[in-house]
Amino acid sequence: MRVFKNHRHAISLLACAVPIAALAGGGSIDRTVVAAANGEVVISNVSGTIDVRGWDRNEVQVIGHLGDDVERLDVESGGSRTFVKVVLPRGNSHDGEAVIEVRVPKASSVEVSAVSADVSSHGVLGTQRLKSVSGEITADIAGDESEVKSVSGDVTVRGSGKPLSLRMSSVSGNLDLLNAAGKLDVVTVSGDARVTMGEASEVRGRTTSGEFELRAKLTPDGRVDLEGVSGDMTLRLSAPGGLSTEIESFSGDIEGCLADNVERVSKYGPGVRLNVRAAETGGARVRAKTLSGSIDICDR
Amino acid sequence: MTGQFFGRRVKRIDELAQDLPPGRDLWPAISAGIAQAIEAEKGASAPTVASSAGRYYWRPASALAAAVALVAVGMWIGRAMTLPSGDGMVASTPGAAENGAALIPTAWQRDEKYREQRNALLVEVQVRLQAMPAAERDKVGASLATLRRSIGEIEAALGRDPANALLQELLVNSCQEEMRALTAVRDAGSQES
Amino acid sequence: MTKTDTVVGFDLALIERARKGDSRAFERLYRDHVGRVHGLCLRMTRNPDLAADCVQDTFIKAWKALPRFEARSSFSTWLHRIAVNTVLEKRRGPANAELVVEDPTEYEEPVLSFDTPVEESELEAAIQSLPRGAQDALVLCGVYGYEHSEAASMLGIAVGTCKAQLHRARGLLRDRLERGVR
Repeated sequence: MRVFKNHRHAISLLACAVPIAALAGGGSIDRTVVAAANGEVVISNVSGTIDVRGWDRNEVQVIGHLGDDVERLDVESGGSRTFVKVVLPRGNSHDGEAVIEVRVPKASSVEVSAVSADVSSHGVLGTQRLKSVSGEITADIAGDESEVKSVSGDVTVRGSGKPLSLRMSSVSGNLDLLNAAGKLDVVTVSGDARVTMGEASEVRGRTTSGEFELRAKLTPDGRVDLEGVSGDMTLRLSAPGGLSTEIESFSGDIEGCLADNVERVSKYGPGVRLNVRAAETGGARVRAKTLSGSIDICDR
Repeated sequence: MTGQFFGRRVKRIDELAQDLPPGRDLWPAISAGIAQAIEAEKGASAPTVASSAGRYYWRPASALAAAVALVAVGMWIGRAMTLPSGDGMVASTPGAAENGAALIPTAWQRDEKYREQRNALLVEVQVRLQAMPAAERDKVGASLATLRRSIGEIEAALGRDPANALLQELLVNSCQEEMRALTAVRDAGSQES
Repeated sequence: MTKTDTVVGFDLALIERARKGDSRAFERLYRDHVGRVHGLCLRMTRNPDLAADCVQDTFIKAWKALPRFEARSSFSTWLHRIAVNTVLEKRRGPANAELVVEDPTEYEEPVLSFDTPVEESELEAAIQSLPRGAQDALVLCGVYGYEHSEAASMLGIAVGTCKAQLHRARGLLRDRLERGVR
């Protein structure tokens, strides 16, 4: 009896000391906490995978598996914020994999930080900030002011088709964006960027050596501003209100269905430009500049 | 100035376009000006990046510490990413030197704060790269080297055509991109703690 | 004729975040408003490089002054105030002499319009050729739609002077367009 009492006492003590954190790593996990319907969920994991899924419950549930080298999983909820953190032992910042699926109220805003973990996110309607160093990121983005960043991992994002403001950046990973609309800011150094947009009001793109491909239907006063060094650009832009261009390359070529209007910048030096004014008043505008990358542009 | 306009006809003066964007992105210079203003007001203490809300804050220049020792150890980014020489010129890349083009140190490249910020970042990025797995280190290092080579190509072209506005704009923006990329690599390490 | 912009909720939200040091929010404000600020600076300075300097100084000053922005006017108008101030500071030489105004009501005039449409570039060149005081009043009132009182306040001149300068600008502009002078 005494042993049983002590055992129950020990468990209750343990429960008070670590009220909602999972026990030591190694093994399956299934934790659920109450969460605000449109609160914030902050998730971090070093290695493994993070799959985020939006659902209809006002709860955050974490299921998955922790590797033997993981110290623990912390799940903590307070106010309108829920934190999910995979904790590795001190001095061990690389090993220790956790494969976790995090179900969040679909109206939540979500922030994910990963190092080599792959990240996926589907069914989340709030703002998302997804960061991974080398892991791949695959996400459906529906929330305004969202941001997806990687250093070397590839990024694939599908928009909802509704206008929103989105920023994507990588150093060496590729960036793919489908079914987006609204405002976009995409930056890469050597990764390629491929973007397909519906109603685009503002697109800003920067690349150093990566290729940049943009297919978009511009709003009547839409703006595209692209800059690259050696990466080639392919632009297929439709603009019902007319399209004005301000395109220049120091030593690259300007090609495409508007190329008849290309002129040399200087009689004696390098450089070509394509400055076209839309026939109608106002109209959408595209600016694109490169050092040596070619620019292939067509307005249909 | 009249080069901005392309032959539209108007009947009223208020039909003239109110919105005339500048020929280049002025944000990098504005951001740098604000960072300087913050530093002037607050000194060394600075708000830090990446609050749990994921906001971005201006980060003033960090103090340069042990830069020479770490740079001497190994250059994952390649010899292209050298520290500036004492005359204030940003070090050239091999491409620029081979073309025999003179470097064009722009006013802000001579700027002490820019050089200090970049030096400090290089030190931190070296540490971060060494901690990365080999395959990732090679991939990221190659990207940073590509960026530095591109800056060298632009510098070389500017040496031959110093008044070229396109090249000036590309150089400023590429150097800003380098700082962004270095910052991204540096900050990648902070996610592991 | 006052174009009073409403401080849209979006601008307010960005301003609040920018006040707390959020650089992304201030960058958004910059990208949303730089066209109008640069348009004003370019027309007042007549020099693209100087206009770019003025734009940069304007936004840096605006960031510093954000805590004092009280939404009595729109953010765009507030930026224009700072921009005009910046341009005037950079101008060298004496301030424009005040015109003697005997009857300011004489200068209540409708928007400057033309019987025959005018080439945009020709009109801009004609505006550039005006004397500074007349040009400033025309740009602020004619192009950007500010009331005389607001434009006068921005320029640091009396309302009557502003009206007189505008009247002068209209006359000079008509002359120059008829003669095709640039």
